[in-house]
Amino acid sequence: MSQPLIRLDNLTVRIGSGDGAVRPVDGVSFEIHRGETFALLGESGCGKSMTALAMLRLLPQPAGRITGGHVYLDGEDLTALPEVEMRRVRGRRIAMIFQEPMTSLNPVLTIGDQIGETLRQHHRLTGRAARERVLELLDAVGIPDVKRRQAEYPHQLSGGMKQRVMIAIALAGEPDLLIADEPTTALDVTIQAQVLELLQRLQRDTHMAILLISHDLGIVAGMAERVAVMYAGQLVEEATRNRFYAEARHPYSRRLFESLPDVGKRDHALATIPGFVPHLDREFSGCRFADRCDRVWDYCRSHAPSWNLGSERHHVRCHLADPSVPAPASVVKERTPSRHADSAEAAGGTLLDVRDLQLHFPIHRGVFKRVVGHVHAVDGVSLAIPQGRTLALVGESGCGKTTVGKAILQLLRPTAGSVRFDDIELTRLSGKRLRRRRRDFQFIFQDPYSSMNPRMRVGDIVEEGMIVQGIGGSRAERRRRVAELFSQVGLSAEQVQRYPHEFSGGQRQRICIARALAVDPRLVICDEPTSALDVSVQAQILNLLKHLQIRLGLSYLFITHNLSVVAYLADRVAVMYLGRIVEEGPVAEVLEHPRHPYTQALLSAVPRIEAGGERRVIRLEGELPSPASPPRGCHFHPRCPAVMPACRESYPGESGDGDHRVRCFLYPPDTAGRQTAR
Amino acid sequence: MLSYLTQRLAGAVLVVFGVISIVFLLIHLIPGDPVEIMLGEAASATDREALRVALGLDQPVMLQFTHYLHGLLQLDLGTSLQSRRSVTDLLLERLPATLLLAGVTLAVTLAMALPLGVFAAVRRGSPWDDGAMTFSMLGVSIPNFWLGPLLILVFSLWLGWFPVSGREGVGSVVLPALTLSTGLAAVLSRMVRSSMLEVLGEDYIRTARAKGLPPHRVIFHHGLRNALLPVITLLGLQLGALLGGAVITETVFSWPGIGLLTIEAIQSRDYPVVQACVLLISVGYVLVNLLTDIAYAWADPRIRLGGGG
Repeated sequence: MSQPLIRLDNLTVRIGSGDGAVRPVDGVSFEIHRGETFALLGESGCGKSMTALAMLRLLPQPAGRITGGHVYLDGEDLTALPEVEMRRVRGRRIAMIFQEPMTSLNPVLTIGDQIGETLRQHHRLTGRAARERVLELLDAVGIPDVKRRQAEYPHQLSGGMKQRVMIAIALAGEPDLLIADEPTTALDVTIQAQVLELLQRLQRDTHMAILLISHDLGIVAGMAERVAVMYAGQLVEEATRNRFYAEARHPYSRRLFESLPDVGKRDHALATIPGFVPHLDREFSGCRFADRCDRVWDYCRSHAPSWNLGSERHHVRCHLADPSVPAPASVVKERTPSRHADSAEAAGGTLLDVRDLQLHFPIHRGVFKRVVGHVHAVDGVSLAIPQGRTLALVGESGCGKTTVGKAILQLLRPTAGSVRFDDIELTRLSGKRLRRRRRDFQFIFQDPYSSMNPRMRVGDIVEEGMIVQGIGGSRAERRRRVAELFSQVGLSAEQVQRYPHEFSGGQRQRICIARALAVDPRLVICDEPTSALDVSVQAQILNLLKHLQIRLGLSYLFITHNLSVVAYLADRVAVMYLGRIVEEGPVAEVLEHPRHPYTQALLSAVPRIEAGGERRVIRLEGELPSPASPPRGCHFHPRCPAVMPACRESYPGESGDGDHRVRCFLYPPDTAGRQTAR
Repeated sequence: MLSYLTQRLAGAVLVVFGVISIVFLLIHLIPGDPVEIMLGEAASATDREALRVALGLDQPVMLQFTHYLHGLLQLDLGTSLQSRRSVTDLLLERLPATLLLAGVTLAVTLAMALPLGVFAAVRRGSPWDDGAMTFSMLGVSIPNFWLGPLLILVFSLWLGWFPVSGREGVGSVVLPALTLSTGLAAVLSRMVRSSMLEVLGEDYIRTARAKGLPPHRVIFHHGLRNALLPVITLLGLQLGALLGGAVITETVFSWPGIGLLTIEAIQSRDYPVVQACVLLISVGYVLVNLLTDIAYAWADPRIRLGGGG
């Protein structure tokens, strides 16, 4: 094979100095060839981003530095280049796009300026030539109306548009290698599909290599030709995509697959990886994964595994793959996933019944704050949740799903409609009576850290709800209850005296779950409770939620954009688009036989891990319109692949059989129930 | 942008009116009779009464207030009880001195604070940083009534470079401006440093560096413009204080500005002048605040163009 474009040779990075120094990258070697997509896969904190930043010599200053190894670009050692030379590599030979397009663009400069800057720096393009090139680049990344857009500021663009601008900036230098660090993690699935497709198309056109950094097995499966898995600062496995997805060999890689939720695992607890990524401030004598591995034996703890070169370029850092290591006398633990206990009783009566819920926010303009219109955030939503069951509310960001949750809890007062909880009309309750009712329905937020007071001990945070509601008896009894709750959510009772920052993301979410449970609620609204967590931690939280539901008979309203979580956890699913529910039905029905074109597109946009997956993504044009001025007729028609004249005229009524309802003109109200017209 | 400005302007007018009312009422509520002071205790009751009528003090307060407002609209602030001159003239006489001092001070403050703050942030934790912050700590803690005389002692009396006091020639503004800006620059440079440190940790700075831009462009074009946003607020407050007259410094240097005028007027219970000075100071604050808002909008497109995130 020809010389690789870039080759990392035993790269080692140190952050900090003295005893507190950590080595987030510890002897990483790989190579990427021209035109190739190489994926670096791993959970947060494993060193992927640090590897990328080290390649560009952009480590956090002054603490971070490269302490060993080399990075060769076309044979030239980047670690030995003077800083001035390195600047000709950054942006020109190697460009990088980041996870957060929202914060990665300078808010006070126009996007035209920010792209033009790269052109001036690396291609000496200025004036008219530069302006024309900027427009070309914006056009290449699929931004409409480029003349107007190039004069706009980042805050005027949506998240997906911003990431396109980031890509345009990266392309401006015409790089040989593009490093994409979690490029779509902050985006919705349909936008994610657009951006990934854009990257693939640009790669075909320009023949640049891509280093894709991701935690998402689905995205990597669709994009990469070769995959490397990183764990605790080292590569633990490297293989071609097909080999990796057909037969991952490292126990860590395999666990990642097993912890993914999907419909086939509904009856079982998801596999989890116990414990934490070890702190990288110490020397390791054995395997770094040993403490969390389900196939560990004594030898693993005393001998660090070497990099075993396998056939078909499938390499693994594990003793199991090393023929020179004596196999263990017996396999220590072969775990089979535990079955969930059967749901205790059949679903009870309807606990929550929402009818025609509307929530409109007024838009104020001018000196006198006149109301000039309304944002129809929630525009006629009806749903019902039986006792002990889970309804998932899915949709892209901005569709109003979180607002529905808040309106049900009366945190935002609905404009119209009814919310009956256990046959009590919540919209008419207020003051003390509403506050007393609040113990019955609790909320779990997306970001557990920002939803806890950082200056309160976590025990007090959990106890507070009981005090407010005047339940739980005496102080000592409440304390006992808190300890009990902690063990119920898988934390130790000694931890009640600690503060939120002392916990990991998954543990914080457990504390939030304990806080919600403290007042014995019957309904818990979970708003994206796992989207900020790694897959293995997500699996733990999903297991816990499912377990608690079976034991305590809780009902969940599960607000999420993650359809595989829906498939694993929910009984019914409602799909929301621009303030309205467009399809609703049993989970299996909706996910396997989606009727609404939007649901179909949403499902097809989810990256899947089937090897070699040549699947067709139904591409949605454009983005979610503003709920302040929804399109006439069916809100979805400007993006709909099956649009008909009627769709532009009026909003379709509900159709379908009793259990699976859809609002789309493809299904005539009277007959659709019995036909499978798709 | 236009609606943003109209909103701010409407707010400013409201505040000024409030200030006018409160100042007027306070002056009329505080004990002490201006007539008595003007005529002395020996004056006869008829003389007092005559002056009272002449000054319009015998009329109901509301009526006096309307008269006062009416005068204000024609820029008539009344007559000084002390010098019998038009208050407007008095103010106009002193205003240029205060404006000059404020302008020079602002320029010197920025010239000291920006480089100091940026440099300290970029070289965080280095001896440069420590040095800059030690200077800033000194600047904050030295009071102007001490620094002023010290500067006079060194530069006027020993070295003879600048005049001791008053306002004669170009050199006379140097020492009062230096006195004022030391304290202001000390506070401002800390603000610039912390704001700059925060901005340098932002993602878009990493983006700028990943583009291969040279450090000066990253720091000034991408960093400083964003770091200045919070600094503008502080700068506005400082400038407002300067316009109102830096009372202590003007007294120390006998600088013939608004601050000195205020002190003189208070000492001689010259109510119309006090009233006018307070009014001028407040209007100065309001104006500067308005300017701050405009500067903010200029610097931050998110405000200028509305919307966020």
